[in-house]
Formats: sequence, C-alpha cells, structure tokens
Amino acid sequence: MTSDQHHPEHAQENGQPMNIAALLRAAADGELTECQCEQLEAHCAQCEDAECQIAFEKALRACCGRAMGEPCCPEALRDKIVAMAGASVEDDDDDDDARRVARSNERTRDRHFWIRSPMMSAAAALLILVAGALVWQSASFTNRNTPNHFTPTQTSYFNRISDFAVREHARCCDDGIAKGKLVKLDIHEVTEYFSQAFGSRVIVPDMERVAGQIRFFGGGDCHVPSTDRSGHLRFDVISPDGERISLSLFVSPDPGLLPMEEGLIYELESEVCAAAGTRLFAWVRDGIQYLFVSEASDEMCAQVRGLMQAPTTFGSL
Amino acid sequence: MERQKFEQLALEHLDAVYRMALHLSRRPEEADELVQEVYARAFRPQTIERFEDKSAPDDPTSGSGGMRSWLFAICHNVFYTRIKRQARQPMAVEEFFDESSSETLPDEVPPVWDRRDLDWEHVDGRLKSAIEDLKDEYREVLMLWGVDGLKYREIAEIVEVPIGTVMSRLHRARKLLADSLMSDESVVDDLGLRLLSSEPNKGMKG
Repeated sequence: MTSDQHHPEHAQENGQPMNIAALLRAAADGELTECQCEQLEAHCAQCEDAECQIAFEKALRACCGRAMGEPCCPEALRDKIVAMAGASVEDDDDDDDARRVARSNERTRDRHFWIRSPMMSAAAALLILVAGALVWQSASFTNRNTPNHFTPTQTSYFNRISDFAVREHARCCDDGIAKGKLVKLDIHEVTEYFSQAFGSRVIVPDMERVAGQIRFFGGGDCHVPSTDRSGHLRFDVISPDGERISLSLFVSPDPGLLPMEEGLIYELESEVCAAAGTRLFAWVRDGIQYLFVSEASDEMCAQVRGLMQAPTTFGSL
Repeated sequence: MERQKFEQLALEHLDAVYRMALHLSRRPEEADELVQEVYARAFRPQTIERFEDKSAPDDPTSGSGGMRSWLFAICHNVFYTRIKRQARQPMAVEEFFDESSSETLPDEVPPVWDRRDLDWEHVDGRLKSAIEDLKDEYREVLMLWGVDGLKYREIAEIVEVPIGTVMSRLHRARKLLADSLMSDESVVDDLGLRLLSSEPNKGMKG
C-alpha cells in the first residue's frame, strides 16, 4: 500500500490540504472538484464505511433543514413590510432607514385626522361599507385579478405561487433542464418519497390505469413559496393534433394561505397565466396542496385534470 | 429593474429573511426589527436602481446572486453592525484563539450511519436544542446551508468571509451536532450510529 493510499493527496480550492473528514462532508454537499472526487473514490475503495458516513452527513443536513426551517414570517410583520413597499413609492427623497420604518408604523396608527373630522370619518366609513358590499356582490364574476376580499398576505401568496408555478413549469418544459431537476424517474418512488416527507399520502395519476394516455417524465424536489418541502412532477400527454403537451404538478404540505376547501378545485386566474397561455389549478387533499399547470386546450383540460385525480367540483376563492 | 417587480421579488423571500433574522437574533422582537430594517434598506430608491439580478437565467428559483442572497447579505450586515454597536466589550482570550483557528477544518470523521432505512424525524427536537447552543456565526452558516441549500461560495458571499472560513464554520457546526447526537444513547441505538476509530487502518479494506 503506497503512502498515498494511507494519506491520500489532500486538496482544497485554494490548494491547501483537505483532510478526509472534510472530504466526506464536502462530498455529502456536492462540493467536490474533479480531483477531490478521485481522492474520494480512492478513499472509498479502502474504507467500506465511507458511504455510510456520507449518508450520515446528508441526513444531518435534511434534519437541520427541518429543525431550522420554521417559522414563517408573522402576519403582522408581513403586513408592515407590505405596507412599507407601498409607502416607498411616495418617498422619493433619500431618507434615513429608521425614519422610514417609523413613518410606516406611524401611518398605520395615526388617528388624529379622523378624530379632528368626525363627519369625514363617518363619510369615509360609509363609503368603505358601500364599496365593500359592491365588491362582495361582484366577487363571483370571473376576473383575472386576485379576489378583492383577499388579505394582503393572501394576495401576495396568490401572486407568488402563480408566478412560481407558471415560470417553473415553463423552465422545466425544456427536457435538458428538467432532467437535471426531475431526477426521480419511477413514479412509485416519487410518490413514496413525498408522502413520507409530507407525512400524508400524495395522490398522483394511477399510471397503470392511464398508461396509454399520459407519460411520467420525472419528479424531484422543488421550492414552492412558503413551504419547507415541496415537489415537482412533470407529465406529458399527446394532443389530438399529435403535439406534446407538458403538465406540471407541484405538491407540498398545505401552508393554509389560500382559503381552499378539501374536495373542491380552484382555478387561479392571473395575468401571468394568461400571458403564458397556461391554466393553473389548485386543490387541497389530506393536508397536501396541489398546484397543477396545464397547457392543454379547453377540450383536453378536463380530461387531464381527471388524469391528475383532481376534484371535479369547482370552488371559488 | 422596475420598482414594482423589485418589491414583489423581495417580498417573495420574506419568510426566508425572517427565519435568518430569528436564528441570528434568537428573539422574535429583535427579529421583527431586523427584518424591518432589512426591507427599509432594500426599498431605498437608490438601492433598487443599483440591484442587478444575478440569478442564473435558467433557474429563477436560484438564490445564487439573486434577490434572496442579496437580502440575506443585508440581514447579515445589519445584524452584525448592531452587535458591534451594542456590545463594545473586549473579546475573551479563548474566543480570540478560537476565531483565529477557524481556518482549520475539524479532522474527526463523521459517524457511520448503518441503518439508512430509518428517517431522522424523531431527533429533530434534540437537534433543535443543539443548534440553539451553537455560536451565532455557526448557526448562520448552518441555516444558509441546511434550510436554503446554498453552496459554500454563495454563503461566503453573503457573510463576507473567505470560502475556507465558511467550510470551517460549517464543518465545526456539523461536528458539534454530530457529537450531540452521539452523546444520546437512545439516538445512537435508534439510528444505528457508530464512530470509526481515528486510526487510519481501521475500517479500511485489505
């Protein structure tokens, strides 16, 4: 056995030696250079426990992710930050950060104006009530904006997931990019993986029943906004014209930020969907949130939703 | 970048920024203030003008060079600027030597995990308390690595230290967490963990 095998050549990005412990941890993190990969192979050939040590580090990372992945931003703080975003439009001059924060807080607490003008206050309150009643009545009409009764948090989340789902779907329509992300090719493995991760059964197309109608391209981890763990599954169908149509299903534990009821399906209409020519649907089942992006035509859309085992009854947000 | 788009993009990462603020400050009230200051700085007109989205064009969810990393960097700077202002105390000698040796990577190898069919969810609580005991700078890199999945280089850019220092802090933090798990017999038994001997021939074939 050569001295190299007893003490493999160390290397680090700056040329300084890296010991075996660091090599194993870096391997678990996917941070090895080509030279370091060779060193690791040499080490693994001599140490049968190396793979188990790398597995330990990977599991530790996932555990750290869970342990430190909470909590989400409190609603009151979120509302303040959103208000700050709106307030920043009015402030063009260079201002001290502390004053900007203070002014934002003051604006939300100031009552003097209303105390000084009771008639104005009453008129404003009446106007708000009338406006609210009109909005409530018009809420059932189809529109491409978020429902008017949404809180700022719900509006923000609605826009975020719409943007995310449509953009990420479009990105993964490129097979080359999708192959790098959607690395799990067995749908049973993917289902089991996410069901275990979420603590609840994930429902996906029954491929044995629908094998001739839909193809599973692959699945993998994803980063749906406001979730700690989420997944992305891509499916392909063939339209009557022979065109390949990709479908994306994003799954995650339901963060509860949209008022969806189990057993109903919702269409999330937004400008970003319209611009992309896609339709976005959402539903919740057993605590799992499903976001389904479909490029299928109106005629095919109901069929592909059925393939996804989506609810059939539509709800309104 | 257009202001509205910038603000929308920035708000997408509010949860992540809050998490970082909370893990740094360890107090919700202080985390609140920290987040407000981060976004106050971020929403300055001159800041918006200067911001350049460096995330990879084919990966809009990447934090690398993008909005998320940028906000993290602000959070890091604001937090440590406050620390310097508030705590004007001489560094303890042992702390000084600790910091100066941070470039050395720990050489104790990770434990061996024999029962890879098991999940670790039941040790989350134990790990949480071990994480709470870590130094601020260890906890910070751990969070960026474990929760946000950032690469060493990305973390180095955010916390503005050399990549070797990131590796050192990260590896030390993981070593401390591993030690914490190994000190609990029930965890060791449940997960099937064991340590290799430090002798080079142990555990090697041939």
